[in-house]
Amino acid sequence: MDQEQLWKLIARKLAGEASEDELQELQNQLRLNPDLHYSLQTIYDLWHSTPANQEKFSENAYSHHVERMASKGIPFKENETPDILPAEHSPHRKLRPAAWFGLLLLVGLAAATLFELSASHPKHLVTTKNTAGEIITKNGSKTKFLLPDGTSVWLNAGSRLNYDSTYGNTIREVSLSGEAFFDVQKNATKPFIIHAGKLNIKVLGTAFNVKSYEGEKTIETSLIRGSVEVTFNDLSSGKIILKANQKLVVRNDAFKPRHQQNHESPRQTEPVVTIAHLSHLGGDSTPVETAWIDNRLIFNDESFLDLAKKMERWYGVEIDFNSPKADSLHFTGIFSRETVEQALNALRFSAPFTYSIQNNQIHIVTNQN
Amino acid sequence: MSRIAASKIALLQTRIARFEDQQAYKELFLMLYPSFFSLVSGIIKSKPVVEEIISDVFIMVWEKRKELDLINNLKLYCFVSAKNLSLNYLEKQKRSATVNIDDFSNTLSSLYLDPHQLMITSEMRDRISKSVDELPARCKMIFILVKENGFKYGEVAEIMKISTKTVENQLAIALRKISISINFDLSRSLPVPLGTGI
Repeated sequence: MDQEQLWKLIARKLAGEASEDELQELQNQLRLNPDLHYSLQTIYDLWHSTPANQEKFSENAYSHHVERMASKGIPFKENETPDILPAEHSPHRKLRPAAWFGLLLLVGLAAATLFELSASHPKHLVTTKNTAGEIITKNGSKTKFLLPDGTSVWLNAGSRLNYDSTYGNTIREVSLSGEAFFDVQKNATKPFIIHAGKLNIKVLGTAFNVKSYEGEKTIETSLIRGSVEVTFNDLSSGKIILKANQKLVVRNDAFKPRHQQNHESPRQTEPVVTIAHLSHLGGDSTPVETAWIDNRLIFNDESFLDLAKKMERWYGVEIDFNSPKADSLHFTGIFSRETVEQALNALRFSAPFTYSIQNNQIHIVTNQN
Repeated sequence: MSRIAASKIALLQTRIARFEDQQAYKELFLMLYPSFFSLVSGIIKSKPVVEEIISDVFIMVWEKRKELDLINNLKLYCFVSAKNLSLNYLEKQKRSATVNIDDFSNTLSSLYLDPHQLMITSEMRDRISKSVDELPARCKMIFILVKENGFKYGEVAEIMKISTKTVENQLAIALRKISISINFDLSRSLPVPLGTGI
């Protein structure tokens, strides 16, 4: 191959225009041209190097632009987006680098859930101009947003987060039903408190995941960094301090009156409150507990019924079983871009069952007796 | 452009179109501004005019917000608008009777080289910068549109009104010239060049 052709291939690779065949061809060619390796590596690095920090430059241009629109009488009033309130120009409101990183992380999700987002987003976007907010995601969709103080929240499918207009006055208080990951903006004078089920989680600045779906057996709090303090509404006056890489699992039936517990709690020997380490699957560096943020559904030795609940939320479907015995099947694995059919087919490799799909309804038939 | 950037733009576009979301509008502005600036300042030398043209493009985006959903590739659409507005401006100024996009006296400095990040010497950085600066105007423009703005060949062809074949050839030429400047450095820095068999 002549040099001209070779450089065209290299250009195609860098520009993202190369086909699989062309990439293969390029690899073969480079094996024949080892003297090119050094300059090519430098060019690859150069190509992928990040541009200088132009944030300030663009920010200034943006304020000029907004002024110019005002002077031309074009209707454009700021402060109307309730999900990033209040839009005062305080340092808290600026996206921190970490938040930008969070945004990047989200982009993958955003692409995947764009369609669903547009359906589920209006709920909170049409709220009034006061600073109260309610953010809701339907099954099959996720979203990410900033609270007024700059705290980032990733809201998993089928979840709801509320905060009222006093948010940030003296404390930062939200209530959660479902699952969310919080990257809390540090502010020692205004504690951040999450009410999830019967749990109150108090933090000063940290990143952690809370899972508290109605109807699930447990509430889980998983800590990535920092520390949080957990108290209970009506269990006891005690509090639990959780450290990085730990998770707290609280059984929901812990809150039922004692006589009721005796009747319907088959797992009485299990403690009601457990502290465990975050789990990792295989060589994966992301803990299982927060993988959903990267758009991955990870399950580790989970019963079919528990997995089905996750899949219902993940894919926005409904799953039922011909027999509760399906719960004796356990699965371990990761889904990311699979469709629900691909996911079910993958599960069928390791367990004997068949399924049928009608609209959003999935019926699973196991051969267990 | 990269899938990440493209999907992010699409998401912002939807937020603007459906909810008149000003935060999304601002994010879009901040995200695209550096690329716009390098494109327009390649055509027009006056900084206030460059800013005005970019502002005009974004005013159009806001005024057309209800129809944004109908635009397939917003970044490309805006780039072509910015290019047209720039050329119109030049026409009005009667700086030249006919304006050709090849005539850019291109002083784009959007090529960012951090020697530390690239693990190269500052001497080599200067040499690479120089080799980029010395590319013919059209060749450099193509290099920057693909590298800095992540445009596909077809998109560059559309912006510059040339064939994709030309885009491909010119980009290959640009890379080859940069590689020569790197190899020059290599041959000087090693006592015995590799593969000479001495």
